Amino acid sequence: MNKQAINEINLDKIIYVKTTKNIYSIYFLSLLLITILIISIFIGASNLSFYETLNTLVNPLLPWKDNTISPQSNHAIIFHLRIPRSLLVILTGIILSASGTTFQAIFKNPLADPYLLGVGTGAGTGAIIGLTIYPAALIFANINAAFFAFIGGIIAVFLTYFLSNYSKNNNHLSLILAGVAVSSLFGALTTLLLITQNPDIKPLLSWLLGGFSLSSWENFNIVLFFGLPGLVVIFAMSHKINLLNLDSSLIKNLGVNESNSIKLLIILSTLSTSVAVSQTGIIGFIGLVSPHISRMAWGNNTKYLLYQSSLVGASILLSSDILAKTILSPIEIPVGLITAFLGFPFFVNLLRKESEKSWTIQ
Amino acid sequence: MIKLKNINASYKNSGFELIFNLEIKKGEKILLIGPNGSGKSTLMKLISGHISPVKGEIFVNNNIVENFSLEKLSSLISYMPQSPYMPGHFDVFEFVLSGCFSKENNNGHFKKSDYKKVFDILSKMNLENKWNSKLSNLSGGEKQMALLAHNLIQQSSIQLFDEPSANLDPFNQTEIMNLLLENQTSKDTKIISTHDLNISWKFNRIIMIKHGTIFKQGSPNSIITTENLTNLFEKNIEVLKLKNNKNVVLYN
Repeated sequence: MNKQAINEINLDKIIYVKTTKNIYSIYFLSLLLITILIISIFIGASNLSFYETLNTLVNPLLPWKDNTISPQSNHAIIFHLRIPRSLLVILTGIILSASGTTFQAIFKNPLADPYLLGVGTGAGTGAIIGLTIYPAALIFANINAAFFAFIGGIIAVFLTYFLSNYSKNNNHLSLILAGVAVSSLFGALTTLLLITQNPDIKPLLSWLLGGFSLSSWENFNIVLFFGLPGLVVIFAMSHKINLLNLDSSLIKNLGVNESNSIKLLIILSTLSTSVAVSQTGIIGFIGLVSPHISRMAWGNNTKYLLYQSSLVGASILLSSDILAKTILSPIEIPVGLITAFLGFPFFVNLLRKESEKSWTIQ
Repeated sequence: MIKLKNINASYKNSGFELIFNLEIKKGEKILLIGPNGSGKSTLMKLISGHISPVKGEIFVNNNIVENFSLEKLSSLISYMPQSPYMPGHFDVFEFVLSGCFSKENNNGHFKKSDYKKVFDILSKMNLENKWNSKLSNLSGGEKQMALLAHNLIQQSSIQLFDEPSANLDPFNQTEIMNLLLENQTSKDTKIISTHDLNISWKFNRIIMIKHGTIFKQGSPNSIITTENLTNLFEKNIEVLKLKNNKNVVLYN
């Protein structure tokens, strides 16, 4: 009787930790992201004061038009530069984090991340090929870049996948090594293209480093249109992604077709990531860091982890973008540099853990 | 219920072919014994549909295993492999809970009853205090217990366990075997492989496997004899008969 009473309490506690607490965390992270979004709209290269920004934001909601408190130029800065930029940052953060979470599950590897597996550089090469054979001045240049980025990303990720299977001693490190090899191959290709094709490589180079300084509604719409469907399917498959963390024979016991699910998920996450790369450049480490932070804080159920890591990733990327806008103002630095600085110690720590074998157990 | 007809499977590590003819009835408790590399695991993988035979057909409930959909097969059979990859970043509760996945029941959206099932099985195994520990922080024995819980919770009618008591201390070995064999109804079929020869009395049938084929099979009393075990392992083995069909196997 007494023991049963204790059991009841414990079960309720477990259910609280495993479900309710996770749902609360998603509310909390959403609020956090909205707060950072509002801050990011108030910060930018042009010196709009707090009240000017506020007036411009509120003006369209008022029943009368008062152009004296909010001139057209302010309106353009807020609604055609800052808002699409912040929304694109959020969408990119969500795509990179959700893809990172997915890759870590399907490759059963905590070091997996769309960029470490070569998707980033592959998509970058593809986008540059797209931009060189179809100059940026033409109207469909951005969509064209997105399409070529997807082709490049898919070739790179499957090359990594087969290379790591090629090494029969298939462990966590061989996947990462294959990713490094594929990344440097595509990196070299990109450099070759840049120095042979395009006389003025500076804008392309800064695009490659990852940044949102030129983001427009067009970039956002392209990422939304081509990236969102894949994201929706990934989120709908979250319960399956959770199982893909397990050993192949355990997955089979549960009636899930592992190889089909993996192929579909690789294609979907690579599509979303490549499209994001084609519009924002290569932004590393977000896809690696955000699933880890979420996992440490709230556990590993992918049903919640996908939402948590997406919100964490979007918040980190948006904060990094605010830093990129302000830290050396009026000069903007590529946000990819900031995420690399943030991600490096994290990655080193993970490698240390990996060498202590705390992730793999046989 | 399970029927293997002239099954032919090749085995990558040894020179021999595996040939099996076997019939298993509903409700049987079967123990597989034999030397390392004799083909016990391969036989289990064949029955559970995890590998396909080169020749011959395996029938479960009069249907060929290979024609089953993955979902149908999973609701019928579960197979616990030897030392699978364990996701170290899962905690014990999440890992066992993942075994509750069932496409028709919850499709991964676990209900309160699923949580209760996990909690009950963890309490039975005295693992409930570890519910929050990461698998990577568990001892080898605790990992094995978690793996067993993950498999038991699926409640498939045909369950195969490949050396479930490996990595466990003698008391836990006994406890695990009892846990596996308890609540056995006439609908459940269990096939277990082990190197612990002293527990044979708990089973209906013992199947000896040697060089990829069935060497001898029958009731524990008739199979676990000095002569049979000496021939099976090609070592000096002595069997002391005790009362209640129990026996002690001595290795010299």
